[in-house]
Amino acid sequence: MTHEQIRSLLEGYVFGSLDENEQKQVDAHLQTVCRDCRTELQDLYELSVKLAQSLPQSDPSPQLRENLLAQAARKSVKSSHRFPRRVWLPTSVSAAAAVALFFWGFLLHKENQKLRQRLSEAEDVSSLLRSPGMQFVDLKGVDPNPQAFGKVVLDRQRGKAVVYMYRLPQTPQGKQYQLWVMREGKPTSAGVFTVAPDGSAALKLDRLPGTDGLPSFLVTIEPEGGEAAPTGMMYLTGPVPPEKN
Amino acid sequence: MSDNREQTIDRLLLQLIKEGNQAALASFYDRHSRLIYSLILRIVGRVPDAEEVTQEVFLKVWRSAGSFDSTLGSPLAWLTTVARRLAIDRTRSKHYKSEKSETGLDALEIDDEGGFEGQVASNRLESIGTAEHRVLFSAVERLSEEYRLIVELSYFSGHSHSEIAERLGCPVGTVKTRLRQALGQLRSILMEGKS
Repeated sequence: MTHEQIRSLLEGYVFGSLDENEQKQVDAHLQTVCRDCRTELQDLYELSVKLAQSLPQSDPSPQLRENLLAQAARKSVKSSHRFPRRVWLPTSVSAAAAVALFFWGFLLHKENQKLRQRLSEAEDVSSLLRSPGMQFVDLKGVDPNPQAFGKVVLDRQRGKAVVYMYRLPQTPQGKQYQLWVMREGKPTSAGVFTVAPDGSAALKLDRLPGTDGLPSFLVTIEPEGGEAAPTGMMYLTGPVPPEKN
Repeated sequence: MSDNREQTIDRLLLQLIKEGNQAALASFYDRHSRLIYSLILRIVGRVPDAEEVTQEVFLKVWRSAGSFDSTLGSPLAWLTTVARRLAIDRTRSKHYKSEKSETGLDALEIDDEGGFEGQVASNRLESIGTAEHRVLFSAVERLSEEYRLIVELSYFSGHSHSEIAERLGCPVGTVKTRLRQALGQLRSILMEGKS
């Protein structure tokens, strides 16, 4: 099929009204990273949102929200507790089983704590997202680690922020990453952290150092416990854009 | 808020959902459940089915937020596509079809001349909402009857090109062309509104 023939099928592709063969041909064409078709496809997907937005709007029952969150919580607990399922228990509860039970209980407790912590972090983000003065700041990886990136959700008026960072190299022994707020060339430490095994980290800032003017964020690697001013290699940086009135 | 800002919030929420954040899921649901539920209700026509499918959609988001492909559009476009597909799947299920014949749901479908009947028509007349919603509503209303019918049959009823061709008694090629022209006209009307 020619490029033009494929283009004539994109509306049907977005609406799911093609036959199986046509669908396959469009998929294959898109694999070739045809930029024109991808742009057209994005445009059509956005148009399909507008069609949905043109409908009369009504709310589902509040019960639906509760059911959804309860189900999500069940699925999350199920998947996060997969590991202790194979605990072996003999018919007569032996000392080893008692230890295993204790250990299991401990793991569940730790997992619960983690879940609660994640929930509270997300509640903070949700509250920030609702704040009228909320801003986003993109953090970009610096050579030789351009793959690292991050996002700051910032509320300057309340001095609060949540910082998410991804694809950072593992924290070296005896070191920690340190987040800085740079203002008029002067750095103020906003906290130290280590990264998770997947290179991600999240930092909640409740009393952000002064962010008047146009500050920027900076992440460097420093000796454990942090320094009074940046001394190590820079990993992430991002300027706060001017506030829109 | 600009579309870009809205998209950034959605992308961030999807990232958090992928990491298993339930409050992010609640936020994402609060932002979009009204739109998604309304779309699904329009397709399936019954409140209990619409609620079930809406829940299915957001559980899918919970389980598969990682499958969102940002090169194919915004998170909302992805969500709308998932919702439409699941809603159309529901209308094709045996259970739905058997209940439909018992309750006479056929009355909600469009007639062959492109007119709308029953609840759908009254919903359209009652249509109220935000300024943006009113602009979009009147843009769709301004489509010619022929184009509106083709959009209705393919987008809201989920019929394939060949099913539409059979229903309208025209070649499949005509259906494709008409759908393309219909969306082109809709795009022009929306552009006119912006300028």
